[in-house]
Formats: sequence, C-alpha cells, structure tokens
Amino acid sequence: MKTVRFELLLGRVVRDPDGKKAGRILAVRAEPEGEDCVVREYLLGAAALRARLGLTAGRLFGWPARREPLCIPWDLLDLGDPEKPRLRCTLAELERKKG
Amino acid sequence: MKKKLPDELELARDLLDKQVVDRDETKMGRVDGLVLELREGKPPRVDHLEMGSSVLARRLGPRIERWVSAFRQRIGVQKAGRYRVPWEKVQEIVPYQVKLDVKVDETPAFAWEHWLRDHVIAHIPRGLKGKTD
Repeated sequence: MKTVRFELLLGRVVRDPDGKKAGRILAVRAEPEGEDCVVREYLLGAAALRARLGLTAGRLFGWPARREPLCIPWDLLDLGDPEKPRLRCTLAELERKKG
Repeated sequence: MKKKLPDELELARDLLDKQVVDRDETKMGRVDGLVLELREGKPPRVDHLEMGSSVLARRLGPRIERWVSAFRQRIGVQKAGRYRVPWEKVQEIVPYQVKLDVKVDETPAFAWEHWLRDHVIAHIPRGLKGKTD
C-alpha cells in the first residue's frame, strides 16, 4: 500500500511535464464516499490559501483580486514522488480541458 | 451510530490541527497528521489520522522528529509517540472539533499525562498536592 503524508504534501511545488511551475499545493478537497473519504482535487496558488483561510476581504488590505485557485483533478496529479508532484499534462492542456 | 460528516471537506482547513474528542467528548489532542492511501486507478483516500508529539515534530523537520522521539524513549513515555486513528473511527466533523468513535482510556493519547502522574505527581508530598475530596 503506497501512502503519502498529507501534511508534508502541503506547500510542495507542482510542475508540469515540461518543468513549468504550476504552483504550490495549498488545499485539497475531499468528499466522504461510503466508509471512505476520497480526494477529489488539489488546489494550487495563493488563491487556494486565501480560500482556505477564509480571506475574502483581501482587497481591503491592498491584495489584488485574483482568479480562482488552479484546481487539479486527482487523476491529473502524479504523486509517485510526493516531494516532487508532477502534472500528468501540460499547463496549456489543463487550461484547454477546463475550457 | 450515524456519522455526521460534511458533504465536502477541505482537508487542511477542516481536519488538520483540529481538536479531537472521544465519544464522551473528552478532549484527547489534535489532528497532527493525515495519511493518504494512493490507489491504482482510483482517487486517493484518507487512510488514517495521526496524533502525537512525534507527528507534530515531523512537520517541523526530520531532525526535530528524531530529537523528540529520542527524548520520549529516554524518559520512557511511549516508544512510538504517535497514535493512528483509522478513518472509519471518525464519527463527526464540525468546525471546532473532530469526534471519534473511541474511548480515550483505550488509546495511548494520554501517555504523557499518565507518565506525569506516575513519575512526578505521585512523588509530590501529600500536603503540597492541595486538598482533594
């Protein structure tokens, strides 16, 4: 059974197959499914951190209003080496998939 | 007993560092770590929660984890320094706590408290302990 320590995964930089930086893993969404709790997507970027901390009034402090966090579906992130998570597609392909 | 879990969880926000209570609402520590199981062709699942000083120390770095583990072994509290809770034992998740379907006395969560009771409190002269009924 291959396992990953979640707390050590947080903050890791994700790169695509071309080596381009996609962002840091700052939040992970999961859903209870029967007796299990399964991961649905990984959220990358500062917007993910702000969502996690519930900071919705960032503009009051001069933070730019940014786009939504980059959401990576569970099947598009390779955690074979948890210290170096990799996208299974390029960032451009990911953007295209999202439409 | 029916579980009370939200439809969607943000693992870092909703689980990590949350207060953990047993089925009688006795506080037994915090969620110091989460372990995900990677499955072929299926989404990763939360395998278990971890509690304990060694788990917390590991988040600060491997060297600090080794120091804490060595210290625990030296004074003989508990060798592992961690307590694993299978996901199936999670009964309820609310914004302020995680409730487990366990009894705290059946877990090693109070190893430090028991060590203090046996090695420190027990040696305090009766008169200094204060009045007890």
